[in-house]
Amino acid sequence: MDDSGGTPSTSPVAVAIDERRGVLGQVQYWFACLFAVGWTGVVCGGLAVQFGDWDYPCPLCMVQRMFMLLAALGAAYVVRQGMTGRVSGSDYMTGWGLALVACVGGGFTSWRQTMLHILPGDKGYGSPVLGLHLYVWAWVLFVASILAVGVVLAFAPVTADRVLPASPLRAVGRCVLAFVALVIAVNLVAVFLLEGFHWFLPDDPSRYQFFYDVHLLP
Amino acid sequence: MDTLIFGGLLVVVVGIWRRGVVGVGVWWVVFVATCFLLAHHITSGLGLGLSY
Repeated sequence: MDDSGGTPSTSPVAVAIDERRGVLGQVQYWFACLFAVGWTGVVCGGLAVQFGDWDYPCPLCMVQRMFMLLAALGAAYVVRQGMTGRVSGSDYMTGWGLALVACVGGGFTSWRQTMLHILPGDKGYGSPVLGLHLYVWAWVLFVASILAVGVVLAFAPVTADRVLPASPLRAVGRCVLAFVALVIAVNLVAVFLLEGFHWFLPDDPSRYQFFYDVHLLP
Repeated sequence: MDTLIFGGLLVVVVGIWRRGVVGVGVWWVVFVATCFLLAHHITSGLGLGLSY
């Protein structure tokens, strides 16, 4: 909007600045791809521990996975808009806003679980990975994500072009969304088998309840 | 509840893919549902008897 009242700022100067940015103007799109794939990858790490070490995820672990995927979907929103070749400022803000809200929710959840096991002598829940329990790693990553999104937004004037090239962004975006969808689907099946026909997971799951609900296991 | 929330997340993906308002709308529904699930699993005070 200009100062005199009401017309969108599509001046030749603004357009020229947009064209001049090049790769720098695509940084937010690529960061959105990295953000979505990164959080989905973290959830894959949880799945690897779940099935590799045969570790049953607790209810708060599952809540953290949900917030991780909600954060990934905020970035996925930016990716999807970018695949059309045009991303408005409100598109960027909507996507990153969703990601930030999810990261705050996930950060609170992982902080809560960390505090449950903070006292000396408490062995924590599950097996540690690289010296820290998964919920502590989750807290670190949620806070780091909030910081990263803040930095990216602060540089939005030079990193968030409104017109993006179709290649290779469209193909990469399609792969990102497919990966997120696949991991959500795997989690859907895994949690259904864990929870069975019940509303909530027990505090300390010790079996895949579905197989007992349908009497496949005694 | 957990299963339904992950199902909701899949619906969000579909909504985002279609680029309508449904994706963001369902995102908020799933977020609120996740917050309720979190509240359900917080069975003691947040302070936990610790000094802050």
